[in-house]
Amino acid sequence: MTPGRDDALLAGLAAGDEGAFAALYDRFGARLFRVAHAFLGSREEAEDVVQDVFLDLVRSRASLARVRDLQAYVFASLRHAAARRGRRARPALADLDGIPSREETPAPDEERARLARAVSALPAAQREVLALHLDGEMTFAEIAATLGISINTAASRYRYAIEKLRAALKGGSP
Amino acid sequence: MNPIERSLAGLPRPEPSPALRARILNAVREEIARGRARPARASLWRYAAALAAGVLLCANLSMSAANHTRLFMPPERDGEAIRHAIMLRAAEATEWREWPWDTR
Repeated sequence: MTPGRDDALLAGLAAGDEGAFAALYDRFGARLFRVAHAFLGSREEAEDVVQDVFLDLVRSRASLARVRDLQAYVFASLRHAAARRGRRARPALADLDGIPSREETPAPDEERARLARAVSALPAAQREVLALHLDGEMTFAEIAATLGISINTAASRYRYAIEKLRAALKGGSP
Repeated sequence: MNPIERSLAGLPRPEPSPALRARILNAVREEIARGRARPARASLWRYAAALAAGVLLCANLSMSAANHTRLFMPPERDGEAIRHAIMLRAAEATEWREWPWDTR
């Protein structure tokens, strides 16, 4: 994070500068898409959700001046947009259970397919941390800021997820 | 990095389509333009409402002037004023004396 860089970008976004939105896409677009894909399991939906995030930013740009951590803000918006799209009927945004994860990802061999199934079977909170860490390329501190949890909790969820995956693959069932 | 993490890192990760950037930036441009058009429409309505209020005020004031309405004064009825005047004049003309049945 470079606060000075974020301040300039945030000022541009708040002013409705299209160049600032282009810079934001260049910085976060691919990672946002990959995390959205991990949440929703569909290319089309992932692209729609990333677009939702940008449109939400445009609509709420007047309040962007108060944002301190742009990355956390953008990924938290993504999480809300994905939950909105994936679970319109359910009010609990944090509950992402049932969202297909990497199952649609073509697995070239049996081990990868088993791993993808095991990831899909993880509890939502652990899968979320996994997606933000692996697809979002975020540190535990950044994940903690995004999810509003402590760094220890973020690291614990990741560790539990890895342990569950190891057990699932060792046991031969997801 | 343990073997599981290596395997996870090895899972294929989709990339956004090259058209996504242009699509999103077009949508952003349209949304910004829509947002700028909205205040212009709102200010037009505000202008119309202010104009209507001004016309009503002018009409009201001119009606008041035409009817000799005294503004910022308590309303006074002519009949009431005449009654007060008669009573004052009557009081001036009254000769006060002791009444025969006054036993004080």
